[in-house]
Amino acid sequence: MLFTTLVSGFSISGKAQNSLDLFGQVGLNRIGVGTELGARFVHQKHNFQIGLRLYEPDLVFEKNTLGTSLAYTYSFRSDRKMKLNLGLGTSFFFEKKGTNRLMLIDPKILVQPNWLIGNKLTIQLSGGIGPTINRTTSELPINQKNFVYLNYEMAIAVYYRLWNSPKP
Amino acid sequence: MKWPLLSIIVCGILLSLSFACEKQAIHPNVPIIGHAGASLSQERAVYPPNSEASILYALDVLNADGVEVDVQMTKDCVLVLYHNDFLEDYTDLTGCINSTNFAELQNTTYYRNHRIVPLNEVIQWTVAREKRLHIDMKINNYCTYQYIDFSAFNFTLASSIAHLSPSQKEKITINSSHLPLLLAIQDEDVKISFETKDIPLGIQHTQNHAIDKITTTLAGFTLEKEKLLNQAGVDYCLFGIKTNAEMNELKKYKPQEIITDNIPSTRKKMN
Repeated sequence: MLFTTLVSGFSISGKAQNSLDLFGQVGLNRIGVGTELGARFVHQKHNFQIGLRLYEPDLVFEKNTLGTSLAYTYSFRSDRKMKLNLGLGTSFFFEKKGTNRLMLIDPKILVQPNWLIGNKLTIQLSGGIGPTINRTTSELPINQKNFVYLNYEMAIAVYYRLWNSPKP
Repeated sequence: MKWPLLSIIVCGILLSLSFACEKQAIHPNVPIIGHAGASLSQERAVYPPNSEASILYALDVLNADGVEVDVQMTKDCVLVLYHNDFLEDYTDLTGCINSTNFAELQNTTYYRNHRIVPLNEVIQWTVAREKRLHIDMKINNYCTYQYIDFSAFNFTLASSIAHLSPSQKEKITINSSHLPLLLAIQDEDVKISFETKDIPLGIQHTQNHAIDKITTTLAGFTLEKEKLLNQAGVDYCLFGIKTNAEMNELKKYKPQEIITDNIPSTRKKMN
């Protein structure tokens, strides 16, 4: 909803060029290997991104677990061929394990150099660091506790330019 | 405009397939036990091995059926969790656990911002959650090159579990590769496990002594060894499981317990 509002708001009001990209990403962190599909809206130097991220069972989840991912980045260096985005991102996951319910949130700082490799294609490397917060709840009060540890992530993504606003 | 839409559809189909695939259970309900808490492996552990955080993370977040911990006895006969031979490896102290009093250990840090945990606390955590506890007992004092006092160990263990019911004690396993230590244990409700790679020797000990099961490493374990155990009716526990290759190898066997460095992945592979 927020994303749609942003896209439509910027599209009708902005004089600067806006664009909408679709992306696929694969990354590795201390939760496991995450695969993500989503969309990015670019307004001037502001990038808003939303995605669905899937983790297969590895270091935390014991089932295939789908969560939501959000990110905002700002393009600090930008020319025709290369951009350097810095910003913040987070993702949310939920898994029921036996009688326990696990909620996982992993906010992180993002550094994302990306290169234009074709007419509409961009490749992006992404590095992230931040705390991973695991909160478990259960019928047993003794099980209610937060577990926080430092997480770091490396990912590679491909973006496809789906739509461009007309040049002013 | 066509191919991105096509790729989204293909990815969607692949995602739904990955959710829809229902595999036949390999060995469901086998208890999955965390190695030294959540993991002893440096690459996989998010908390130090045998620490409070690692144990509770394994039990509450990773949903382990139990934890394996490395236990040593202090000079004043308190059972505490510590894996290595020397204190200088992970604390501000020097020497061995067996040559140090518990009060000194309480005043030191473990892995900079953790503490050395007494076994009594771990017993409370596992009992409260109705989970298993696998105690890997270290028998050597590497500072004096002597064994610990086995009768003192038996007395200390008995006092630590005296308040537990027989069914709670049955969830506790004492494991060692040193038979005299195991034979010194007088409690009849805790499970006794002999650790060995020599399966025929292990079977012999279970037949001649009050040994309940064998703990053995996956490396070197074979279907022939499993057949020997099954023929003798001896339960066994496998450990040494970290990588995907090891988890795939594990699927060939039907152990009664698994000690693993990757709890969620192992559970997924076995179910």
